[in-house]
Amino acid sequence: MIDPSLASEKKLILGVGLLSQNFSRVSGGVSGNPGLGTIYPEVHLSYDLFIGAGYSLSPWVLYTPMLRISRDGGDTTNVLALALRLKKDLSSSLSANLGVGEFIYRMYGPGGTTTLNNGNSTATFALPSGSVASTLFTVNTGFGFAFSETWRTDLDMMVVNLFSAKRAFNAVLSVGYGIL
Amino acid sequence: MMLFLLLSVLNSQAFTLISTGNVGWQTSTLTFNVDTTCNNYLGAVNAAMNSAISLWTNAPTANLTLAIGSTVTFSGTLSQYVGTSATLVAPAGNPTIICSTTFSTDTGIAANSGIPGVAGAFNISSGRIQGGLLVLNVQSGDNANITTMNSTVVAVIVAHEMGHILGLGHSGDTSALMYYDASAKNVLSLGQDDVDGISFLYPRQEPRDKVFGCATIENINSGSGGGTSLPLLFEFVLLLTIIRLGIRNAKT
Repeated sequence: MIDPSLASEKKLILGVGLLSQNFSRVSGGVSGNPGLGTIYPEVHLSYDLFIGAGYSLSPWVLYTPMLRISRDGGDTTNVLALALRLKKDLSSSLSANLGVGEFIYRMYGPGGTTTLNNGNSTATFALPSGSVASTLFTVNTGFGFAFSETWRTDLDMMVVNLFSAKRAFNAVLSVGYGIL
Repeated sequence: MMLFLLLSVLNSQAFTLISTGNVGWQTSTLTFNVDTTCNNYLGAVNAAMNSAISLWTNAPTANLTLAIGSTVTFSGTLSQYVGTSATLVAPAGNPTIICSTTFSTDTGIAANSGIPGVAGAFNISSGRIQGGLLVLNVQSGDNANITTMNSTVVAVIVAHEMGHILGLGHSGDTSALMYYDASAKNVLSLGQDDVDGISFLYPRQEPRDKVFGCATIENINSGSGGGTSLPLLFEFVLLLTIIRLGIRNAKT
């Protein structure tokens, strides 16, 4: 049994996991029913700056190092997310956080054309050309559980367009390693 | 599990655009007018339009606001504007939705071809779309007459055709609304590919486009995308500063 009192000693955390963009929002199959969202492998870095009474400020940077590449090479996308979170230790191993951040979604296209089915024939369509980014503020929240002094797991959520019908959830399930 | 997820990610398809260099409409606030030919079907058409408009407007990473406008009378001969030739030109202005009781004649598509509607974005200048038409099939006896279909199917059809007017071509992704065959869809939704496409043409960039989606968008879409906002830079500098302070504290 791991001594939970040893948890959270490391403050600089390097994590890897999976990001689900637009969780339960976009179509997951041919019928149009919502699925688990668009899955990306992610890597993130966070640092806990203790400010007293079990609270710490926790800046957090997430990046998806592997571009989501379409099979025909027509477009690629990736995510960079930044956040500043207030973290509260609920126990020696469990913590919760709440913060704000920014979600940057970048889409790249090589240009050119492709031929696709057009109903009763085929037609030539243009592939996107260049790079475009959508930048959205986020409200961040999440929970973390420290297994040991160095290993932890986190479930984080980035909510975009919180106050409108455009609202969408981007979830991150990750494993973290304390390196400092 | 991880390998399966990675493979599913890599198997996604790309969205396409209706033409090379197309960067969408100049404005991100667009009104769809309804032609008087739809007067006899307004209930069905308006319900489908409302669903389709809501769907595209609520794409999370896009900056787009769509609305239903006034009833108008389309001028000119429909067959002059709609057909298989990409060189046809529609009138500049708000896109118009037309209900055609002579769909096969108007569009040149044979009767009973299973085509419930056609649409196009026209009058493209410097990559900007300046006109659009959506023609719905209400031809009596045709196997794709929308008045014989259920409301969800009609909404899917209208939303798909609206996607063309907004500048999107077809997608090879079967889960996308812009996949050429919508017959298997029983839920009106966007695929990630659709969201990517509409965001590529109309990227959302807060705070320019109001923070947290608080309000409608009034700014003109620059279409250039990729700009780094000052709040982003501020936030990044703040993060670096805090990390540096934290590391210094940890050492002392």
